Amino acid sequence: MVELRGLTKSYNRGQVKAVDDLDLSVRGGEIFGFLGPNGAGKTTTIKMMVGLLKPDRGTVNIAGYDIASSPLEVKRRISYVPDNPDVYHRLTGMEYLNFMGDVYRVSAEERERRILRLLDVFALGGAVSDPIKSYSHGMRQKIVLVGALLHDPLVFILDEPMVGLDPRSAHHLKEIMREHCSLGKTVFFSTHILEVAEKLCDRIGIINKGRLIALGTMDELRAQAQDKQSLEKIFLELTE
Amino acid sequence: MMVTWAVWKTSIKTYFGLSLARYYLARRDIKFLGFPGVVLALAVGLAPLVYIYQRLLNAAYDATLPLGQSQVVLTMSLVTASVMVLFFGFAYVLSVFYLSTDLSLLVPLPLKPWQVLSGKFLVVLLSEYLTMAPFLLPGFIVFGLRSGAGTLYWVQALAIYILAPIIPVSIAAVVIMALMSVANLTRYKDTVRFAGMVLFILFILAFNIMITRIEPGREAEFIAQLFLSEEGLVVQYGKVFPPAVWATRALAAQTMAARWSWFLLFTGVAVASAGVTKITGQGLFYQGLIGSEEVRAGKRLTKSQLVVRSRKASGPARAIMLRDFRMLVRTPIYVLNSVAMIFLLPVFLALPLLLGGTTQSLFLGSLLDPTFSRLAGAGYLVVMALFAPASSTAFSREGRLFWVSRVVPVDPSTQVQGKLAQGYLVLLLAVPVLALFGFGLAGWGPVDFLLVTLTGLAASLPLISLSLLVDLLRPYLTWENPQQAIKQNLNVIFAMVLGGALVAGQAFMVTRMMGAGTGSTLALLATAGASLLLGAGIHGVLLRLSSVLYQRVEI
Repeated sequence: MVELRGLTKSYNRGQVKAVDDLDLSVRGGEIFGFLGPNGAGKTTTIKMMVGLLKPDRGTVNIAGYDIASSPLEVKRRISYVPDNPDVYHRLTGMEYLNFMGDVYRVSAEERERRILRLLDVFALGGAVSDPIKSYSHGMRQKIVLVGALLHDPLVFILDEPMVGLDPRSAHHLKEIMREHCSLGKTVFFSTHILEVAEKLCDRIGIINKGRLIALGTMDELRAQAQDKQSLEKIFLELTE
Repeated sequence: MMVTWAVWKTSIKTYFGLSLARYYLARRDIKFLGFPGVVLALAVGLAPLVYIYQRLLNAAYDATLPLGQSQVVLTMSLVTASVMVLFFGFAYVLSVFYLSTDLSLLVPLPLKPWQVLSGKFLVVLLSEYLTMAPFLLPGFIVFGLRSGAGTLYWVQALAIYILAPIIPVSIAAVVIMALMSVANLTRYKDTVRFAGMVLFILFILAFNIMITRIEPGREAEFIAQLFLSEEGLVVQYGKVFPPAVWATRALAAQTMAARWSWFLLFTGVAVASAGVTKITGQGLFYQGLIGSEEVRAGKRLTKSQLVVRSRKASGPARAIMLRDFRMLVRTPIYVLNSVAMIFLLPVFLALPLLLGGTTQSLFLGSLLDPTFSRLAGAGYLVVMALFAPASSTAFSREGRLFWVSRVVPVDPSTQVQGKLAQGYLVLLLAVPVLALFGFGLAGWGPVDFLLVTLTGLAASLPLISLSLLVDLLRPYLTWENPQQAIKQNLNVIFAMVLGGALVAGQAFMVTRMMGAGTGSTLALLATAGASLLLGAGIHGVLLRLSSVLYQRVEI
């Protein structure tokens, strides 16, 4: 479903390699956790996957389409939740959702069904007619999540999605992720919360200094590490 | 002191974007010209006004020299500058003290309230030096050069320039802090900002009316009456704000001892007022800040309302248009620049005409002429398309949220069409004004109205498309507050200059055709046709380039 080949991106005229020759495949029906210390290259990789950054080298192929040559085909099949949920402060929640529904061409019937369900799941029904600027960080995170799920994406890409969510909403998001994958779709997310990755992900990739240093299921990662107790220990050992 | 210094440095760097400019300079990125570019553009824009002002000052100097009161030039400048500082001071103080984005970062730091306040105070002060410059410097220069003043005058003038805004800014700061400690104005910040802008426009309008009432050749007499009579501005303002008179005396008193005495008094009061601000700030500044993030909740939607609203589907281009238009009309600075202008320009034009003398009556008479009124009507729409920055900031206004436009599955060319429609939607707000003028004043019939409206809209196509192209070529997305998206955006100026050339071409075409005996209807239709062709060409280029240009933007 997601194929990254030789993906490379540098900043400061090549002085800083944010992502270095990254190869990665994520299958359909899989929840993939992308881990790494701060500045490891997670957000840069995700931004290249969704078309926000142009790679210096390499390709991003999602659902059989190359982001460079068929950007719209890719974008129709993915949705992206950024690490900073600041969206249009001067729109109301409902106006934002309708905007997202329009640009993803979600029919009125589908839109009604999904909006009502997701607002209910994330307990946002009471605030949806208020301007987004009145929302807390967590509420903004939730309205972005609802907007991203409106068109039922094939690949759901999230950058640090749990930050700012209350435990109930985090729980619901995890359920939505699992439900999504049970339908053969893919979830790709970055996180710092190792517990979430350990319990939720089918496979985990660890990136450090732009290079993928570990990849596999929890069992496979344990096999690679000397200290096999927890993902935290493995993470600390590998990223030392 | 080191901590306070650090707060000062950071406040100045953040507000004026100095670190960002240095970063761009190091990378040899043209964006480093952002702030200096805006200052330069403002200086160029204000140059004609400053020229008129210095002529007034010179006339005042000539008129008052025989009376031995030529120092009134200084008082005039000091009065004008301190009125401006005080006038802008309230809005500046409210904006910088209570609406800055860095406050949530600064307040939790182990700093005393006055330390945070001093950084903010300094930022307002530095901004006021720029505000004051066109009002105060000409006065100092005219008096200094005409009176053959010595070195001491210039040194003291510099010192007074540095000290001059401290007293009015302190007054504004103390008043705003007192007000904020009892009423949380930031909850109504949009209303407050808008009210401030409207006040500013009324001020300019009043100034405009005042200037048009001066009869040619009688400027000196007017000034003498305005500033020197018992009811004059200097006497009145001097009573309310004596420091302006003290500063004048510090620069122009007869004896050296008197000069120094007045200078020391002025300096002492300036320093004391800063001290009062510090003490007041220590007690009141944080009181007004607490709770400033509160927002009132709206009404909860019923289930059936939710269903109705969630079914409002439309196409992507319309969605982009509506998003942009909603954001525009809900942001006061955008409204003022793009929408309010549509209504204010006719008022600006009409008031002096209605109040004015013979020349104005002649112009008013010609507006009622059928041919001229139709040209003026179409010209009004074109000028609105040229001056309202709704299109020349259409991409820039998205700011850091441009990522949304990059990730949604909508072809850039469709997005551009949405933005073009948004530009036209703003322009359509001018049509009722045009109808009021046409039917109410110029005596148009429906056909005239239709012809003028369609010509104006057609002639605006190349301008709107060109503005969009300029903004997409170099969108300014890194702004911190919406004001910067418009005021520090050179695209607005570039689009006006390039569009101005197109408008000049359109005007040339109409006048040449009419000069050659073509009727005004045909001339208007021909211009509309040529503009549509040109507009379609520019729009075609814009659509063709849009994919590449969208991809070039990295956020």
